Amino acid sequence: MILAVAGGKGGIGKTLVATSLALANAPLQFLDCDVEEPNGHFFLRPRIRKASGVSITVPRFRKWKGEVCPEAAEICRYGALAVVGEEMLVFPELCVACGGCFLLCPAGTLEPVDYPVGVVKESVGRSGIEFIAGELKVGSQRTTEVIRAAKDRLERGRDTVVDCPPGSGRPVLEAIRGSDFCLLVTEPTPFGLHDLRGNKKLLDILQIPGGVVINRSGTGYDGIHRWCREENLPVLAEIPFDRELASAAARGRTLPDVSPDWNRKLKDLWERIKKR
Amino acid sequence: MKVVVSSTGPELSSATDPRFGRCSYFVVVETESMEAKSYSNESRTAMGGAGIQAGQFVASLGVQAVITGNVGPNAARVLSAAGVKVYTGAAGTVQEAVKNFSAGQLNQTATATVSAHAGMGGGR
Repeated sequence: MILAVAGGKGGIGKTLVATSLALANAPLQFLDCDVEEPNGHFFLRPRIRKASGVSITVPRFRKWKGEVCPEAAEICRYGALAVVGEEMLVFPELCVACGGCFLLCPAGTLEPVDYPVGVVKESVGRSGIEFIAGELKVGSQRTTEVIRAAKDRLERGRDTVVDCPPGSGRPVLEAIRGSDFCLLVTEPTPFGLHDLRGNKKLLDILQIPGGVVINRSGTGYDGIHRWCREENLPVLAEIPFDRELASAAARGRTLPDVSPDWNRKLKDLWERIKKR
Repeated sequence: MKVVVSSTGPELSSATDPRFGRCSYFVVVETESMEAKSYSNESRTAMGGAGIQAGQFVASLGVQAVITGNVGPNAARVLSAAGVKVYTGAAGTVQEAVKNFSAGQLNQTATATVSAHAGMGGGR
C-alpha cells in the first residue's frame, strides 16, 4: 500500500503523522516529497547512502550553428528565451523544460544541456526504514520535477508512506498521484477546514480515497467533524492539543516515541486503511 | 538622442514608474525635441520573465538609453546584450526624468540595482 499524508498548510502536522505511521509500521519505504522544505529526516534520522542529482533539459544558444530564432522566444510563455540582435539569451531558472524551442528552431541552433534543479537522497533511517527524500535546489522552481525523480526511486509493490508538500496545488498533486489512500491532516479551526476542503477536492479529482487526521484536537471547534459527516469523509485519528506532544515533536520525537499506546493505535490505523 | 522612460502613464506629465519590467507604460522621448510616443507595457502582468520581455521590447524600439527607477538582473542582462544603456534613479514626471538625464544627474548602471522579482510586490 502507498499511503500519502497531505495537509493544507505548513506546520499542520503532516510530517509528524507520516513519520509516526512509518515507525509504527516499520520496516517500509518513506518518501519525503516536501522538496521545498524536507524535514522527515529530523524524525527518522537517516544515514545518507546515496545522493543523485536531478536536472532538466534547457536550451543553450550556439551562435556559430545558425541564426537567431525569434519564434522560439515568442512561444516561450515563461520568458526563458530572449532574442537580442544576433544573440539568443537563455534564462535557465525560468525554463520549464517543455522543449518547445527545440521544435521551432533550425537544427543545431539550440543545444540541449542539463540544468540542475535538485537532489534525491536515499538512506536507511530508524527501524530499518528505507528513506528517500527529494530536495529542491535553493532558488529553483522545478518542484514537480524533483518530486517525480524522488518517486522514481520507490520500489514498487512495497508498503510506502509519502510525506507531501503543504497545500493543494500542483506539487501536492504530483506527490499524491498513484497513492492507494491519502490521509489529510488538519486542525480544528476555520483555517483548517478551509484547507481541508481544498485537499478533498484534489482527492476527488484524482479519485483517491481519503480520511482525516485532526491534529491539536480538543479546542472546542467542531466544524471539521460536521463537514466530514456531510462529505462522508471518515475522521480516522485525533491527536490531542497537548504541550508534552508538541514539545516532543519539536525535539524530533514521533508519536510512538512518546507512548507505546500510539504505536498500537497507528498499527491499527494502518491495518484498517489497508483492509478498506 | 532617443530614450525610453518607465512610466505610470502615457504622457510626458505622467509620474515615472520605479519598476522597469512591470511598469505600466514605456514613454519614448527624443531628448532634443521632447517629442514623445508611448507604448503600453504588455509584459507588466507576465507570470515571470517580465524584465526579459520588457527588455526585448525596449531594445526593438531602437532607443539608446533606458531611464527607470531600478532594474533587475534579467532585464539588465538583456539590455546590456542589446547595447542599451541603463540609467536608474528616475523620479518625478517623465519630463523631469528626461531633463535630469540630459543634465547628467542620473546614474548609469551595467548591473542590476535590485534583486529578481523586486517589481512584483507582495514581499516576494
